[in-house]
Amino acid sequence: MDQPEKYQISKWTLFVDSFMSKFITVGGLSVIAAVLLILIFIGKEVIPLLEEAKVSPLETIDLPKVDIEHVAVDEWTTLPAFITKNSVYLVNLQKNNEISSKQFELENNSPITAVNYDQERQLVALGNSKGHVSLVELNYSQEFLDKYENGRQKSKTIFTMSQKPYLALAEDEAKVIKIAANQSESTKIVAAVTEKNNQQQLLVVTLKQSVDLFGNVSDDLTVDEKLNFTEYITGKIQKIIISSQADSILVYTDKNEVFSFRTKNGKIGFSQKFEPFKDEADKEIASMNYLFGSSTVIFSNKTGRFLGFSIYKPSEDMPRVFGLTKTTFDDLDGGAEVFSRSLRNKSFLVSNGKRIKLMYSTSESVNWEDTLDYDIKHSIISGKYDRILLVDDKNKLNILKLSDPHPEASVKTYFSKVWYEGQPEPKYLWSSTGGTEEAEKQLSMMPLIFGTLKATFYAMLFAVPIAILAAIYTSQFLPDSWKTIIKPLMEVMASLPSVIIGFLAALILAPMVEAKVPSIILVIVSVPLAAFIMGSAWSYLPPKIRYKCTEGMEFVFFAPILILVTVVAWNMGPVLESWFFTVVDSQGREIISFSRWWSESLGYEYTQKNAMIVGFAMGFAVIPIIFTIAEDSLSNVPKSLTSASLALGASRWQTTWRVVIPTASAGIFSACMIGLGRAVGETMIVLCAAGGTGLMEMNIFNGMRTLSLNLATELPEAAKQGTLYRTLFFGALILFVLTFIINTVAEIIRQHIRNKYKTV
Amino acid sequence: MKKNNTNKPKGDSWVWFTSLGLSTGLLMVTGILIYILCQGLSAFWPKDVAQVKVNPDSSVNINGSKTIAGVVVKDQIKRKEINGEFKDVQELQLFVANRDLYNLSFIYIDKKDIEQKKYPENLMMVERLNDSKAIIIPTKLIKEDKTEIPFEDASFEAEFSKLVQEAENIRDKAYDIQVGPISDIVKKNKNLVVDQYPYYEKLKFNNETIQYLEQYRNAVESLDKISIGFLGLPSDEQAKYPESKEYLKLFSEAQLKLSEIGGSDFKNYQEIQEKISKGKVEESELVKQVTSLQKDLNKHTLEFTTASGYNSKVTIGNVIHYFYPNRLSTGNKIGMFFSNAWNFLTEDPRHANTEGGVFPAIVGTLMMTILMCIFVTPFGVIAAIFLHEYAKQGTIVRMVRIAINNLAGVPSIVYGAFGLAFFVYYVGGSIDELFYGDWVKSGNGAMFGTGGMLWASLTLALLTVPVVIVATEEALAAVPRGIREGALGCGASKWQMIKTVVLPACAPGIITGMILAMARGAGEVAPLMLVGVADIASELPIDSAFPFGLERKFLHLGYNVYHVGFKTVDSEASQPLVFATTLLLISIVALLNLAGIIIRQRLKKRYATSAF
Repeated sequence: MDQPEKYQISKWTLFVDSFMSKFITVGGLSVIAAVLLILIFIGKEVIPLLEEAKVSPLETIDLPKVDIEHVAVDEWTTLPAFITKNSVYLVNLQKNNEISSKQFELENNSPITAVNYDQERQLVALGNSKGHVSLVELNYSQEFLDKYENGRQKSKTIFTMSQKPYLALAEDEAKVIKIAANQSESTKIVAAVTEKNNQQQLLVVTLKQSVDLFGNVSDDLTVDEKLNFTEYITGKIQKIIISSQADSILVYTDKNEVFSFRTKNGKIGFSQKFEPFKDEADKEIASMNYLFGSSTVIFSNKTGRFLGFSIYKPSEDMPRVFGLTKTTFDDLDGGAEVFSRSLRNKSFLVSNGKRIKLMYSTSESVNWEDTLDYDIKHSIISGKYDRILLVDDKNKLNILKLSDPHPEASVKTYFSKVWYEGQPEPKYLWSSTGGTEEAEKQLSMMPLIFGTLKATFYAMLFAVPIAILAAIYTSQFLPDSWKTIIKPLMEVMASLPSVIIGFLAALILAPMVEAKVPSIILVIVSVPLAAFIMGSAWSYLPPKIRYKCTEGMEFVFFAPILILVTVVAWNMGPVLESWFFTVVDSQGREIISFSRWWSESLGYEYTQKNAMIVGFAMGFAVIPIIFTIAEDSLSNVPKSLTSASLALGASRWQTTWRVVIPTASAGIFSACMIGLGRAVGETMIVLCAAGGTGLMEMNIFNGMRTLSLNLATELPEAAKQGTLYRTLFFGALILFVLTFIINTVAEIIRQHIRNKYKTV
Repeated sequence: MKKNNTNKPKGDSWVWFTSLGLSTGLLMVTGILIYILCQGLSAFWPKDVAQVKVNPDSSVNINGSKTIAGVVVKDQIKRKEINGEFKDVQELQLFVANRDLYNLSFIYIDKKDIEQKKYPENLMMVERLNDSKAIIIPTKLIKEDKTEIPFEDASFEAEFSKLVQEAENIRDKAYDIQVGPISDIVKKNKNLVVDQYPYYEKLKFNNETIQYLEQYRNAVESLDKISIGFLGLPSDEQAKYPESKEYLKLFSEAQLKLSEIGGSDFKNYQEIQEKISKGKVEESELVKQVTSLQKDLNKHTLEFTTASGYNSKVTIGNVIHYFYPNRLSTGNKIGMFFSNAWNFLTEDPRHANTEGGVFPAIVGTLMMTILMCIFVTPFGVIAAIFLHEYAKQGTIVRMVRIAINNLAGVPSIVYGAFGLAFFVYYVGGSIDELFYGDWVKSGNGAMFGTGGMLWASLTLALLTVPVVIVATEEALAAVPRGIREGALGCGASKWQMIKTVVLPACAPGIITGMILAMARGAGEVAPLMLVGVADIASELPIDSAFPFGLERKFLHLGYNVYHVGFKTVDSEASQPLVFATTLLLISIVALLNLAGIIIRQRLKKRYATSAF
């Protein structure tokens, strides 16, 4: 820096320059990074779906040395209860594991010989040696204390139990050896196996609680019906279970047959007999248990094979029966000696000896498995699905922490056919709520992807021909003075908010078109035909008339003809309908109706908001996008090529067809891809006009559910970070990746072409 | 003939065939635009109300009456099944209004069944405050002092219009109190609650204080139930409520104990509590004023009957606009057309958005678009300058460019989902936790942790940033090399060159990108459904104090179209309103677009001539 000061660059200038360089570099990089971060962030929302269940031991507590029959626990896992044949032992985890007990009442000192507990309804059933039965309701509640801890009011779990008076079930005072009970809002069912002189009887009693005018349920139970189902049973009964709606009884016998009794028209009766392991090598049933919701029963045999039977209607006019639906569960070492189910979802815990598995019924997957260092005798999953309680052979209670936030998520649930509860066959279905808490969540991505592709397909079918023809015409034949008006006009069309197109399509077009399908068919056929005939006929006209239309103004002359043909075709529609689309109704009358013809003669569904409407509307939305890009690439074909062709005597059409289109074909293809990308993600049009039922049919006259529609309708209501929330983000990720790939391919092709033209 | 054909170029019929594409496209665009224009404008045009008498054999009736008054909406041929046969029927669709009386808005009449159709001058069309439109025949006006003015009376018209005008003044007064003093006090009290919360937290240091605090708060709550802001009342007022004694005892006990233990924290807590109570008293006084004003609104009633013979009445305060459709001359109609359009643009929506105007939606849409523009432009321009001027051109920059181009094609709903997860739940949730913990904990609901104006405009900014980057880059590329080299040759540094030469040259390009981004943003609805749009909003998303209403949900024209068109009970009756909204939205978007296009074309011309 020997230069005199006045020739030196001012320090300030240098400072500003280097600062701005850094500022713009950092700023630019961070903007680009922020934009690209979207993918990563959406991925971050999805990844927890892949996490497996985590189980970790929390504590071990010694229990009194009693014969535990069943384990119960409250929702908050503060007061587990251990049910024996005489009493209930409680371990207070909030109070140094203090143990207390409550005795069951006896009748005339007859000992209790059978006890059963249902976790969902918290109902204990007792049966005694004189054939009498009693129900005990366990009740957990929380009471807030006057004490505070860390600013929070402390609470205490209160356990109460109320025992109903004994009821004589067996007239002959036979000993109850097996018992089961369950209750719905107003009905209770008790089923018991009694034994006297080695003779088994299956007795069932239904009890009703009277409900007064105000909807209050009284405490008094009245016997509604006493039934004896012994006659249906062959063999010795091994186990009875009753559904949580108190409408179905299942028993299995030592002959490995299952007998099902179901309520029909308010009466319970024999429904079905089946042999679950009929086709297996080992036919011996080892366990039989309901899952949450009591729509599915899980059986295991002695070799540790698991099968799921669900209740469904095999066909519309048949009653609901059990059928084999789940066959691909993982095997266990032996039969499920210990079984417990979740009260939140379709998970169940099975164990044999030291081996334990947490399985999920919908996806038939194993979410967690382990070999513990103790023999498991009893297990229970807490109501909040966050704790597992295991009692081992030394009467020790092991509390394990369960963390399985997304048990439903698996590749199978998202992409394979699943035999859902209540369905007659495996299907791809989407229904995130299912109406009730117990309903199985149906989270298949397939109907959504299919719907997206279907909507896109019909949109492209409509848009591509029009857009490309218009682009060819505009770029090759239209005078430049017109181009400057028409291109901006088409761009305005591109900016038409899609909610408006959707609104017009759903509320104006759909009702208008509903009864006019034949007219639409006629228009679609006759308009291109008219264009071609018109073109051919024009050349036979005397030149005087022909020259009235200067080259490139054909579209102005064609417009009135187009309108005319459309109007004529539209009004000829009913005539076409009366020729071809008639059905004969039940009274022998002939009815002219396309929609009925479509549904009755062809057996497809016909709805007002259908794929055709979506195709029109979405096609309309993508036409300008395809048009603009295709027109660009057609215009960019080097002038030297077209000039050479014209100079060699080719007509303007020959030049276009043989020279311009082949050169620009890749560009036209890329235009279609970009249009496709836009159609795939379009939301408001499908939200307005697609109906939203997730069907998997290519039928043009019914609706669909697309990924974008699904996101828009379900995401606002989905619980933050729940399974549905993450599944919806998975849908968003699919959409993102799909459009990103489509657009990248298109963009690469475009850049490739640009480089190619540079050299020409 | 043959001779004529010799000069016919080959394949001209195909040229005609390709003209099909352009003709169809243009006809569709112009068709739709004209349709929306007609429908949108006709929503403001006052239409005649027909009174139709139907053939007694026809099944059409309104609760047994065969006389029906309504606006003819459609006159169309419809295929109907009559006794098992399908027949084309010329059918009239009448908008009969009076949904509260009839439980329907439209009635369909076979034209052949119409015995008589006339346009009586005594039919009055009324727009009501809390109800849908009504078509009535007034019978008499009953004033507060029970004097009755029959409709036939000459003074009816003057009196009625005077009362309606009076009612409007009262409504305005009540509205002024509600949006002025009342909302100020509500906001002040909200802030006081937030200020009070930290002392509450501090005071909870042991179980005893917690117990007394709870007692204190419960007593205040119970006293508030007796009379709002009880503790702020003067003592002689307080004495009027004997049932308060018990709570006052609990209150003073807790107060005594807490001031012993709590010290200065409790003193502050107590002071704020007093202010809150006083504020509540002030508020309740003002609310009383408003209610008494509203009572004034309901002093006078108009008794009426309908063409179908229903007798009912409406309080004058419920009448917003009224006119006699069949008495209007063409000049009157034109006047009404403009006043309707003005009302549509400036009034608040009524009756769950199905009546009234769209003023809040216009404000919401514009606010969001402008905010988005403020966010998107600097970032987009910086990124573009970086990409074009500073980054080393190579494969990586090419890939980044492709990626950015592609992001413009990523579905908007994906951006919405991202906005929900990132801005609303992650950023908003964190802000709430850090700065508004007291606010949220004191039971005011989420502040930024829910959809709102700020998040919506940021999401849309992200959605449109590729548009700005691409447009700016194009403009930067169009600046001739000679200009740059000239500037550098004169001794400018790189930044000076960009600042003084390049940026001014490409300013129109940047503005184009900005306008195109605004046009895209204004028309997007899907992402807004996830990040901040509301069905009904009580407050505009503008405020003078921090956070300037940015956290509020807002109404949006595009969403209004969807919501009113699809999600309201009587969506068919509000279709004219939807069309008017549609027209407005299209006009805004088209104007923005046209501006962008025109600037771009000018820019192109400028550079076409400025050859170096």
